[in-house]
Amino acid sequence: MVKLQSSDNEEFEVGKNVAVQSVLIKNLLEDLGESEEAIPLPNVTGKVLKKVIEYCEHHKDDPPPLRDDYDDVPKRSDDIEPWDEKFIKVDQELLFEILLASNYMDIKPLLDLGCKTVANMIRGKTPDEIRKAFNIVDDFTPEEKEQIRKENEWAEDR
Amino acid sequence: MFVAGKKRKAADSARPRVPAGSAQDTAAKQIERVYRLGSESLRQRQYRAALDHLNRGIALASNAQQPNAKLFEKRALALLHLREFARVASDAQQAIALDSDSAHAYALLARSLMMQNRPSDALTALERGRRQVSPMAAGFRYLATLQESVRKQLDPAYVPKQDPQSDPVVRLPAELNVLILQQMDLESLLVCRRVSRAWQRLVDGIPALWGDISVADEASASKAMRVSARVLRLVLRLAGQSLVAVNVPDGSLLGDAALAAVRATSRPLLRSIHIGRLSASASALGQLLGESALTSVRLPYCPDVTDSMLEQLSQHLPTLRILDISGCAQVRMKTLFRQFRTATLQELYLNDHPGLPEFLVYCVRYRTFASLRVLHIAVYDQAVFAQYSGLGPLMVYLGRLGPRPCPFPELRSLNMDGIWEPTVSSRRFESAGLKGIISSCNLVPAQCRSISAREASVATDLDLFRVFHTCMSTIYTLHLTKAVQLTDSMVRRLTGTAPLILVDLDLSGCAALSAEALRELVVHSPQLLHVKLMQTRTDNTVLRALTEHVVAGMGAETLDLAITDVTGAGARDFAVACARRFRAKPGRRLRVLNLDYCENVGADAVAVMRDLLMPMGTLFTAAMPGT
Repeated sequence: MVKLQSSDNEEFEVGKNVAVQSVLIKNLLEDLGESEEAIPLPNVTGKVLKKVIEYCEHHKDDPPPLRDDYDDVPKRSDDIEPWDEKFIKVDQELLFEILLASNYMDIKPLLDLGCKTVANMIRGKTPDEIRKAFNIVDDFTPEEKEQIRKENEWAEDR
Repeated sequence: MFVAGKKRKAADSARPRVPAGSAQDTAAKQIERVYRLGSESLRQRQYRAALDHLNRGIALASNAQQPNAKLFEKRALALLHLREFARVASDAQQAIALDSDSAHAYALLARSLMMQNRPSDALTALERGRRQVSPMAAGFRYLATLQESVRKQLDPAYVPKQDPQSDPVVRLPAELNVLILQQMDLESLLVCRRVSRAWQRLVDGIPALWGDISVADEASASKAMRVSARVLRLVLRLAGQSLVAVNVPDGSLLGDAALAAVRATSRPLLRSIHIGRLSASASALGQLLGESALTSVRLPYCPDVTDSMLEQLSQHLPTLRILDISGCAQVRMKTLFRQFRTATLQELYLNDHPGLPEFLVYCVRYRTFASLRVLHIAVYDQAVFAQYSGLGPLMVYLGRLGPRPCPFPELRSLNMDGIWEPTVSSRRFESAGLKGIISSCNLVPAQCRSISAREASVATDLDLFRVFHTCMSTIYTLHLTKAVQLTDSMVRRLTGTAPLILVDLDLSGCAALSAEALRELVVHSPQLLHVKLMQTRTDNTVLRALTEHVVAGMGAETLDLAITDVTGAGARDFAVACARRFRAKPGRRLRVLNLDYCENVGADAVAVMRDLLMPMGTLFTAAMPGT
């Protein structure tokens, strides 16, 4: 078992196979050896750490990702798995905190999941919809707007 | 298992508090349940339903004397969507009275005032909110954002101030921004530039994003966007020296100037150019291709590509690996063969090219392209052969050469869609047709992994045997549609009894195959993922074989059985198996199931299957004539 301590001093005890999905923790354990001391994670709050552990717990038995030697083999769908999709359906603040935590703790599949989810929130939207989704003010002047519109014109006559 | 060191924190503050005492306790639980129902309906955009739940919640709360700000907030939100602005205001006021920290209530109030065209009142409400609400409260930042938007609406020339901390995307570390934005296609990136100044700075400041842009992938090339010269120039400017690839499948709006823009800056990383339907002068194209490090040049359907350009190409780019001159009718095969003796080429795209028969015969004779791994010689537009003559002499020549080994021993993927179409193979050509050349050339080596031969209606058993017999045990992808002459005995000869590793199989329209032969094929192919047997004699025995793969934990992810003889019972069993597999292994879901015009599948079975497939999100269709 490995003990982890969040920034707000909440302690979690997890199996080693769960904890080492974080490369940060894996390296720490390798360098320092296992001990009774809790590993402090000063960048991650208890609420977020709990979510991260939930993810690692669910994925602890996943086989390591295969390298794609045969590009021509049709692959199984690579979109987000239903469990992951449900897992990542959280309010936006928590989503971004999970993203930061997975980056800090170096958990690649969770980082990918978070990035994919944010990307999906952006892709295929209008600028207005994006502003609304992320609480952003449109701070362009009318002239700037016209300028960008011209630059961005997708199809035009030569 | 993990054990939380502390007990879970008390109920989330978003939910109504649960005080002690049993009667009050049940009331609080009820209120909480109704509140959740209301929130869920809101998420699903069912505002009427949400309103009903929240009305009930507010009644319950007032009976139990547990007035609750969150309930009023949510109801105000539902009313806002239902455009009942006066009632929004009164609910928002209620929420504020109950909880002075409710930033959302102030925001809702302001939004309703905005919708009633009272921006200055909205501004007053927001200012009041920012004074009253604690800066630590959830949604406080949103008030500031909203205030800036309202100011801007009042005065279009006003430049709002965005608190950089309030934009969660811009606030992320740079490496995460790159990871997220990398997943955008060109169109989405252009939209991102228009969100705000900070976003524009962000997106414009990462050259790598612009360096290797895909406009649309090959599969959806038909709806590929036409890229304007202006957008291309923008991309080129932002990519700078990081430009790796130019990928514009439909470049019909581009011309010489756009090509010059590629060359305007030093592009040390540029490796690949793919511009289709381009009309540019030969000299501009030639200059562009003078880029020394290109390994991939794809210029399909560019009418101005000439022999002399091909010569330049081969001189400047001795390491070229990918060449696409589909539909470039000016390019003569003689030049291609003279210029590419060194045979480093691994992928060649020669679709819709009138020189195809010569190409094949020369390859048999000289084995010039022995290193090819991918070859596309599809015929989509038969008109390219309209003027063709000279097939007869080629056939005679080929006959004199006698049996020869496969000209492409390394070939892994071959696309010859349309080559066995009647117009291509016989009517326009002399008697034997292109088909004779294909079947005499021994095109496919063992170890080939993917063959596509759609619209193969004139292919005889013998033609098909000659192409496929070498590779059936190594092939992953087999697309052979409308091969109406393909018979059971041929399929059995090809597949033998060894297990096959087919993953993607399309035999749509192969109408002569019996259900029994199809069943055997499926039984021997346990790895099937994508199966199309549209308009075949597929019946329940075939479907049962597919079902058994699913029961074994493998089985199809997409299945197209439109216009077949399967019945409702068979299809239902399949759906049940898929639903079970999904429960055991959530990663394995049935993504597509098509049972259009299967007359033996009744409405009852369809309804049952719809329920079974819904949790998986399967795209399920079962249309009937007249429905």
